[in-house]
Amino acid sequence: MPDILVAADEPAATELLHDAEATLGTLSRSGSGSLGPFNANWSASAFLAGGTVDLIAPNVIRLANCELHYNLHFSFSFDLSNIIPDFCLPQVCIHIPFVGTFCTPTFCVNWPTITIPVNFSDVVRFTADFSLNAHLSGPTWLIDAVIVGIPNLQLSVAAAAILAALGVAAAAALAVIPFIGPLLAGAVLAITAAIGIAGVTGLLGPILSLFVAGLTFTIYRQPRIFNVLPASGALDPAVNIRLDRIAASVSHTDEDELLIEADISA
Amino acid sequence: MSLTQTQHIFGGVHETGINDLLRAFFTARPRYLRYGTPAFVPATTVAATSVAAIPFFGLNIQFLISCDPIPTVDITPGGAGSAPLMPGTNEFTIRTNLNFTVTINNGPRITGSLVVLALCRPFVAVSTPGTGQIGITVSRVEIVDITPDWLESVVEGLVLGIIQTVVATVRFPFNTITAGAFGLILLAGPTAETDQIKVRGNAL
Repeated sequence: MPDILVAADEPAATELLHDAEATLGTLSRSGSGSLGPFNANWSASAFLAGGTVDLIAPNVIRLANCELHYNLHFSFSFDLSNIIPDFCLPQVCIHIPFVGTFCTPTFCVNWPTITIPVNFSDVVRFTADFSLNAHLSGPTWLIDAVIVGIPNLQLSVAAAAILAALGVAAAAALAVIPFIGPLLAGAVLAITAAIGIAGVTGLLGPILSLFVAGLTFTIYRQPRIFNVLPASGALDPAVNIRLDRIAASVSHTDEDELLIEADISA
Repeated sequence: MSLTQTQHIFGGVHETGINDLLRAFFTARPRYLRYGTPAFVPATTVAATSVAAIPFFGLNIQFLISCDPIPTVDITPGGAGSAPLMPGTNEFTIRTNLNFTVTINNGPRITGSLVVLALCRPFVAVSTPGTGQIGITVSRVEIVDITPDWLESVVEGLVLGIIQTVVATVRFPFNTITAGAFGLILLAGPTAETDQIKVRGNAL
């Protein structure tokens, strides 16, 4: 029998997880990747919210319908030379009697790389199992709920939206180029169509997985030297106990409960 | 049967944990176990509490009273050690030795020690959600092997007052009963049962 035994039912455990989500705050990542002919530099921020807890003995917290709120900023770059080759107009010389020879300069066209920014925000819901891990970290006892595996994120709708946004942004950026812009815009639209939702999902999935892979919620954090009563004047010093052991588990009786055990000493 | 029953949060401290808490409390604040008149304790310090001498028919009675060892509890159902004063429903027994030294008109010191059992109940001393505290009330004491009975009753009456003074200082914060895991809104308890002090409620 532990010195202290604390139990929380599923609604209370849900509150505990929501508090842990809030404590985790907003996470940020950045990187780069490729999407068809586009190079994509991206930065992303995300936070977790919501979800309901299902406690599963002996050691699993299942969090259902947890919301990953994310904000993505892509900077897609595209080298127009990939579509139309660079070219040079050679020098042309004309001999004009009594005047001499007149030559035009060599004229080369090196198509630039255009950059297309795309911002996108959305929420993706997922369900995942977390295992409980109570451990001492320096002077502090922690109970972590650590995600098991990587949950399946349903991204097809978001991917379609990003693809559409990319196509529209690219077309708008290119359409203003005289003479060939409208043709290029059409070509880019054709390319984005060829990339398809699967292509964007292939870029988006790894980005968002960074926020859930190894996801850890700290649901308990207390110093090993635990203050029972603060000092109250010079005659009454603080009263502290030592948390010698902390453990966490899930029990199943007529309802499922999260159990936290503590052994203490003076 | 679940621990939380109809509430959402349960906190239970086993009697071994209560004893650790008492040891921590009285080790940090030993003055609540040691009381003396000015001849023994001229001024209150962390180590001892100074109390007034007792005027009695012109006599100068000076005394020193201390509880040693630090009190321990036996929460219902009681064990063999609590046999003289078994805890009943929602009760627990506190055990300690009451050690005393008395001098009358600066005469020789009279010393003695009594084994004291006190029957107690937990109560809500402060009910504030999150920062509430559980206290202890003492209803009876039992001192073994004093005769005749009338003298035992007189001594027990005196000792009851002393033990009530000692345990009245003890507080168990809600936050300790939940090991700091939850802020507790107390809805049920505290109860003393199955060797534990138990509370139930909602998370703050």
